[in-house]
This record gives sequence, structure tokens and C-alpha cells, in this order.
Amino acid sequence: MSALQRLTSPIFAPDEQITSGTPRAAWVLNILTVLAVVGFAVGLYMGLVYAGMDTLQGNVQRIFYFHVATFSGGFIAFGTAVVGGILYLVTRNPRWDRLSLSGIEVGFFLSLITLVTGMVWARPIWNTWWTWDPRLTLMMIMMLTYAAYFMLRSAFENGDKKRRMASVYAILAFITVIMTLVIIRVRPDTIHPAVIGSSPVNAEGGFSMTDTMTTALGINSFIFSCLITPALIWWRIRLERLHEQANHLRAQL
Amino acid sequence: MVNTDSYLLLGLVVVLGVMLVYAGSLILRIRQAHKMIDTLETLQEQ
Repeated sequence: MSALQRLTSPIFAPDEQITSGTPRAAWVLNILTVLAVVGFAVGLYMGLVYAGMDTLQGNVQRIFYFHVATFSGGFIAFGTAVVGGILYLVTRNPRWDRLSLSGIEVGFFLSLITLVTGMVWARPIWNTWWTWDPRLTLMMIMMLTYAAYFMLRSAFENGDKKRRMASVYAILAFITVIMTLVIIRVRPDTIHPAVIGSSPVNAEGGFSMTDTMTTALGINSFIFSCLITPALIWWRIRLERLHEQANHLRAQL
Repeated sequence: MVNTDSYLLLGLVVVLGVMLVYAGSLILRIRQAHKMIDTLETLQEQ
């Protein structure tokens, strides 16, 4: 099958392909899942043991390795949703809508970890769980925007219209991710530190990274972006294929 | 230096908790979907 044919192939392949994919794909997914689980354990070790302790903030600074890594994973997941949305609009192949939906669901949960771990870090460092800082506010807007995506999907019956609307929304919603990412560079009044590169003038809680800290951050970001996020998205796609197969069978009855 | 270990522990609970809840929900939903498909296939055969 050529790349173009694969891109535009219909939603329902033979039943065994809908439920479990090809044996090779299943094998790759199992390997990826094992790597993701092992990677998660390695990431915990890197963040909790390998990286040195920050002398000013104490051990709470170690949250940073998961806070940033989950945002990296979320960024990849939301970016995947954009790719899926664009490809759906171009090809009208539902497989790309499945990719988009899966990317957003996984990205949403990873962003939830980013948001809550940030609050936990802020309590001892900023002496508050929450403040309406530009970065934090935008992060909240981003989460609410993606929460609305699920409401949008549930408002339509299955079909092309639902998928088109969801694809357009997935593409536009990514603006909030970009804004959340760059706000600390363009707004000097934020108190959120930019650990990599120069920090805003009012940043509070920043620290200089040592070599072990840089390594732990890099490895955790890699694990969340390249192992955990793709594995979760792939499993979520499988689930969606099963839902579609069930709907297909239900329609036949 | 202030002792912030309890906040680290809370952060880890959040990371592990959300990851486990999401992975668990995926597993449960996949199992439920398989059961649903089996039931529908049985009904179809009948």
C-alpha cells in the first residue's frame, strides 16, 4: 500500500485490524509500553536520586523535573492533535480524527499534572497555591479550552461534521499552548521563572542548573515526550477504534 | 534551608496518581469495549 493510499484508506479495515491492529503494530506498541514504564522509573530515579538538591528550595525543587517534562509531553500531544486535525481536513480519513482526539485527551491529562505540580511547588516557594500570574492564567485558559473540546465533540452525532468541527477546534486551540509557552519571554512582569535562558525581571523561585540537574531534566523530558506520550496516544487510538467497531456492529443489528 | 520534603511527596502523589488513574481508565475502557464487541457479535450471530 502506498503512502497516499494509507493516508486516505477507509475507516473500516478488516475486523481484526480494527480491534488489535496488525501483529507487528501490536508488537511495537507492547515494546513502546514497556519502554515507557521503564523510562518512567528511570525518570523518577533521575529526578529523585541522581540530580543534586537545590540548596535554597530544598527537595521540592525536584518537582520541576516532572513539571517541565509533563508540559513537554503535553506539547507533543497537542501538536499531534494539530497534525491529526490538518490531515483529517485534507483527507477526510477518520483515522486522523482518532489521532487528534487521542492527542488532546493525553495532552489534557499531562497538562493537569503540570498545573497541579506547579501549584504544589508554588506553595512553599511563592507562599501561595495560586496567583493570577500571566503564565498561570494562560495555563488555566489552555486547560479550559481543551476541556471545551470534549464538550464540542459530545454536542455532535458521529459523522463528518463532528470531525470537521473538532479538527478545526484542535488546530485553533493550539494557539493557547503557544501563548502559554512564550508568555514568560514577552511579559517581563510574570513571576514565573524561566530556568532555561534569561528569566523575567520579577521571576521568583528560579535557580541555576547544575550538570546533574540538566541531565535529569533532559532525560525526563525525552521520556515523557518520546516514550510515555506516544504510548498513551497509541493506546487511546486503539480504544477509539474499538468504540468505532462497536458502533459499527450496533448499527448492523 | 526550609524543609520542603512534604511538598515533594505531595507532588509525586499527584504525578503518580494522575498517571495511574489515566492508564487505569484506558485499561478499563479497552476491556469494556472488548466485552461490548463480544456481546454485539454474539447477538449478531443469533
